[in-house]
Order: sequence, then structure tokens, then C-alpha cells
Amino acid sequence: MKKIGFKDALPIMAGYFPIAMAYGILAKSVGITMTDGVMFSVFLYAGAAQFMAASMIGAGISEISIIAAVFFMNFRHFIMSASVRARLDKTHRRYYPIIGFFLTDESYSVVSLKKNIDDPGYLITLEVSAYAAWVSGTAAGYLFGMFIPAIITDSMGIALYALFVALLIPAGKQTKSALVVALIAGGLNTLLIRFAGLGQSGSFILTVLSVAAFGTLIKRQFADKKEDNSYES
Amino acid sequence: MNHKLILFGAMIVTMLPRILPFFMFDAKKLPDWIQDFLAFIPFAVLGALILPGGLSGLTGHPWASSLCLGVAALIAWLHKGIIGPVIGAVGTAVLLQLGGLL
Repeated sequence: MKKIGFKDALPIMAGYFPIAMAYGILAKSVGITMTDGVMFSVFLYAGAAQFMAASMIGAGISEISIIAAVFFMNFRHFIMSASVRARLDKTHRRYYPIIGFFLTDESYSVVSLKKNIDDPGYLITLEVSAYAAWVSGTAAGYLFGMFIPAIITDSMGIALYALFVALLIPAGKQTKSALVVALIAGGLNTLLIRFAGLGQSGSFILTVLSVAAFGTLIKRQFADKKEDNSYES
Repeated sequence: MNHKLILFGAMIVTMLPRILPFFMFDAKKLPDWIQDFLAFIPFAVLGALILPGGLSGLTGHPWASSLCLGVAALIAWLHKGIIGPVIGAVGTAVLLQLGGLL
């Protein structure tokens, strides 16, 4: 299972390494030392929040505002951790802090579509492999950033979104409702970000919870109907 | 500007929502409706991660970003696997830039 964990991590690593390099380049440019920049990747390990924090540091925004912004941005992981927790056996309890610390959008996306994830060896191998790519990519950004042509770093921005699409499509081929749920969620999230002024993280949380609740209602409605019919016949 | 303070604070507020849910409910069997609810979460998460963020994957170029993700979707539809779609999308982005279209 550890082997499979590493294999499943490869696409994430391929996306993380260059994006972490881009982070290193940005962090260096706003005056974060290499030690601090790499420490952010080691201890925070949250791509979007790290980019945001570096830009805010560059803009001279206060420490407390940056920490608050990071909190709001990363609160979405609450839902993902709860979702993974529900699929793990209690005997793995001692691994929970590790599995939780290393859980990102990308590792969650890969893991959540797996049939059976109740194996800490698999989960931790996948997560730590991705983590290694993120941390080493950050250092590489500081050290070699100036040698990377802009055309490559600019193009890499699409990689992780392509990863999400590549995860969604096969699942959607199998279960059409999965595709519908994802489309509704994407549409609602776009509307909320554009018009509701909730910010990225607030919109994300509201979207995921309400779309999942809506899906549950519809599903149970249909289940009830089917039961009714069977009684009639 | 104290970068160490930011690092420490940001680490705490990031770790808490990632780790706490693992200890918040017991492993007792969850009711059916909660299991249904949790089963929908991954797809809702993927949808909300792709839109609208993916449209600014190539910053400032929503149509080019959509094109790249369309290429990824097409490859994903035709072949299983993750690496192919990712390479397809990045390759399209590189070609668009080389062609001077971005």
C-alpha cells in the first residue's frame, strides 16, 4: 500500500514542486529570508495561504491581520479532515495528528475518491511524498528561481487545477450525479465569491456544506419514493 | 514586521482545523444521512476548487485557462490517469505563450 501511496502522490508532486518554486521566488522577492520561507513550507504547508501571507508581508500588513487571513483561508480544511476521519478506523487513532497535519486540498482530492483508505501507511506515504515535493520546491525556488524562464512558471499555475479536473472526470464518468454535484458547487462558489462578498474561504465552506446537504435531501427523497413504490406493488 | 511571529501564528491556525476534526466525534457508526452527506463532500469540494479558481490558473487569462482545463478534461475522459491531463494542460499553456497568444 505504501508503494501505491507514492504512486498516487506523483501527480501531486509534479504540480507541487514548480508551484513551490514560484512561492520561493515570491517570498524571496518580498524580503523573507530563505530559512523563514522554507520554514513556512515546513510548518504551515498550505500553498494558497503561503502565497497570500507572502503578498501581505510584501504589502506591509500587520502580523495579526495576516494570521487572521490565514485562519479564514485554511478553515476549509475542517470539512476535509472530518470527511477523512469518518472513513478511518478508530484503531489508527495515534496516526490522526499526522494524517491531519499533512492533509491538503490536493491530497484530500486524491484520497477522497479512493474506495478504501483505511490504511495509515498508504495515507501517510501519499501525504509525506507530496510534502517533500513542496518543501524541496520552496528551497529550489530560492536557490534556482532566477534560472527558470517565466514562460514555464507562468504556465505551471494551471497544473493543480488540471489535477482536480483529472480527478473529477473519471469519477463523473462512473457516477453522473458526481459531475452534476461538482458543477452545481462550482457555479454556486463562483456566484458567492462574485456577489456575496464572503471571500474565498467563506464561499468555499458555504458552497460545500449546502451542496452536500442539497444532494443528501434529493437522494433521500428518491430513496423514500422508491420504498413507497415497492410497498404499492 | 516579525516573520517568525507570523509563521508561528499561521501554523497554529492552520493546524487546528486540520487536526481537531479527527478527535471531535467518536468512531461509533454514523447515521445513514450523515454518511450520505459525507459521500457528497468530495465532489462538492472538487467543484468548488475548480471554479472559479481554475479560471485564473493562468493569471488574467480566463479563456486560455478554460481552454487548458478543457484539454485536461478531454484527456481525462479518453484515458484514465492523472499525469496525462496535467501535462496536456501545462503543455497547452506553454504553446499558447510561445504562440504569443497570452
